[in-house]
Amino acid sequence: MTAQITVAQTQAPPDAETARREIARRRRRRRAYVWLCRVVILAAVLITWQVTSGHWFPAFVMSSPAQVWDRVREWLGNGYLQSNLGVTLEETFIGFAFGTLVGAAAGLLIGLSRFASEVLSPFINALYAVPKIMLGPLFVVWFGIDLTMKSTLAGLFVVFIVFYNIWSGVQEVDQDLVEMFRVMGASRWAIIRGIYLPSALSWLFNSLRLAFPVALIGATVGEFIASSAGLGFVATNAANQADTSGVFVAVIAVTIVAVLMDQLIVLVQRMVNRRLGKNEGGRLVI
Amino acid sequence: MTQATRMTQRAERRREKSGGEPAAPGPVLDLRSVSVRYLTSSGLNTAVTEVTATVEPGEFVSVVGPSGCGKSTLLHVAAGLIRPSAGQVTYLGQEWTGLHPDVGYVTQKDTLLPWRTVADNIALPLQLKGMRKAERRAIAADMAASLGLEDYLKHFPNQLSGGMRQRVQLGRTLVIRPKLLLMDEPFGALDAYLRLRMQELLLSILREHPVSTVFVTHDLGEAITLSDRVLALSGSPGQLVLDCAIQTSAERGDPMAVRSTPEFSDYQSRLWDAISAPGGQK
Repeated sequence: MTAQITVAQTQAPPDAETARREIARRRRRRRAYVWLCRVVILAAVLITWQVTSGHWFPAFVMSSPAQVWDRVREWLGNGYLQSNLGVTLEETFIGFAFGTLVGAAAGLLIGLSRFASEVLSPFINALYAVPKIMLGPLFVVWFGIDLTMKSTLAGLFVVFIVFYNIWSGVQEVDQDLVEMFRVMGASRWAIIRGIYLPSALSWLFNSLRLAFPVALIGATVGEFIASSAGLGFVATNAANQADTSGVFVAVIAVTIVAVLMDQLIVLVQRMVNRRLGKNEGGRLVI
Repeated sequence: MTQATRMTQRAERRREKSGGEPAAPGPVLDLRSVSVRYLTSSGLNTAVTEVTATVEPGEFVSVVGPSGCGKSTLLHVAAGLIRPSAGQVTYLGQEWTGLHPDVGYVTQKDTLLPWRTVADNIALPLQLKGMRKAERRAIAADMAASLGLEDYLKHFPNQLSGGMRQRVQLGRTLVIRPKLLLMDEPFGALDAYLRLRMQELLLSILREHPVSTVFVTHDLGEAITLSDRVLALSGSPGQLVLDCAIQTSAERGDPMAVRSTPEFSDYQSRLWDAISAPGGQK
């Protein structure tokens, strides 16, 4: 490192293009190291699991990567994994969409009224504290054991996260901006459209990242309560037959869905942020 | 040509330029024995008391005074944001009815919308008035050009320096052609060099877009450099202690030249004496 810098100093200063290429090269190399380390860690975990399985613990308790892989191939082959994944995704997305819509709308409406926020805040806090899983049996009574029950459970989880983020965000909007709009003669609606909605967008994305995994939990827990399909059902069903590999397959499938969705939300968030002028890591123009 | 006639002529020119309307008879803003009292948890608090002052069309008036003498309160009264507890406020010949229309307000604080580009920030008040996109874009681009921001139309505020952001705020304020421009320590957060540059820019932009201005500052030099007239407030509650017309032998568009005239230091010591007179600041 030091050597490189000394060499650079004795030579003529590089032109902008060379400097840019050098910075890009170093960034790529660093990135490659990061990924290499990640792969090594993953490989170490898998190898340890494979090697210890059947030695330290019985294979039917621990399963092993090879057995999990076999089960994946089997279930992909006969379509069992895909169909159950589809069921869980449907429940999750319906709950996620409804929960987001209701939570965002309510958060905005209540947040815009200081009086309503003050009146309702103890109720909101109380509802937030309720372990929402406990409502599962109630939903079985209300909606039966079909899609509606699981989506409602997923949506209920989501609603609170989105609501809470937007609601508290609205109350933290810079009042000097609002004052500035007023001096310009802006109407109430113009203030909401010009300040509150754009601000709400960034809180929305932050809450969506939290909300999606929670929606998945809602759906799978709903399947635990009562179901004949879905990844939650796959897991309980496999466990009932002492098929730990099957349980692992369900868990890994849910994890992959959550990670992919998180990446997707981050991607959209970046696009939106670029439109909103929040460019990360950009250089200042003086 | 004497300084006095030069000054009158300049005011005349501004009046003519400010949109072909007939010059409003009388002052833009007329404050008579204005007092403002606040009710606070520690009791009744008087911010300013018995202030009488006017702002004539095209005039640049600064308000100076130590912190807490009610300068900003007076500016809120001028904007029609608060109604005085006693006294009379007349804006463009009309008594107080609420927020004054066609008032531009600039503060030290950055109130640009971070999610809007420079062009869209400048065009904001036009948009709020319902102007069509193409039209307001064109006007905003013109305004940006006269502020030296023509290359930054598509930049976002967080990509700009403090001085540039303040220029965008100024552009946003002037784009509606206000009848009264109110500025509350607009350059207070800038360093000394940038502040002089901004003063220069402000004077040149006001030649292009003439408007009656009230400028609050605690920097006496800044007030003398910029103004036709300086009002000095002092004490708590704030009282008007000096109303002083400024005339120097230097070209006023050049802050450094004004600062090097002998009159400049005379005014400075007069204002200093006024605001630090006994009975004023404790």
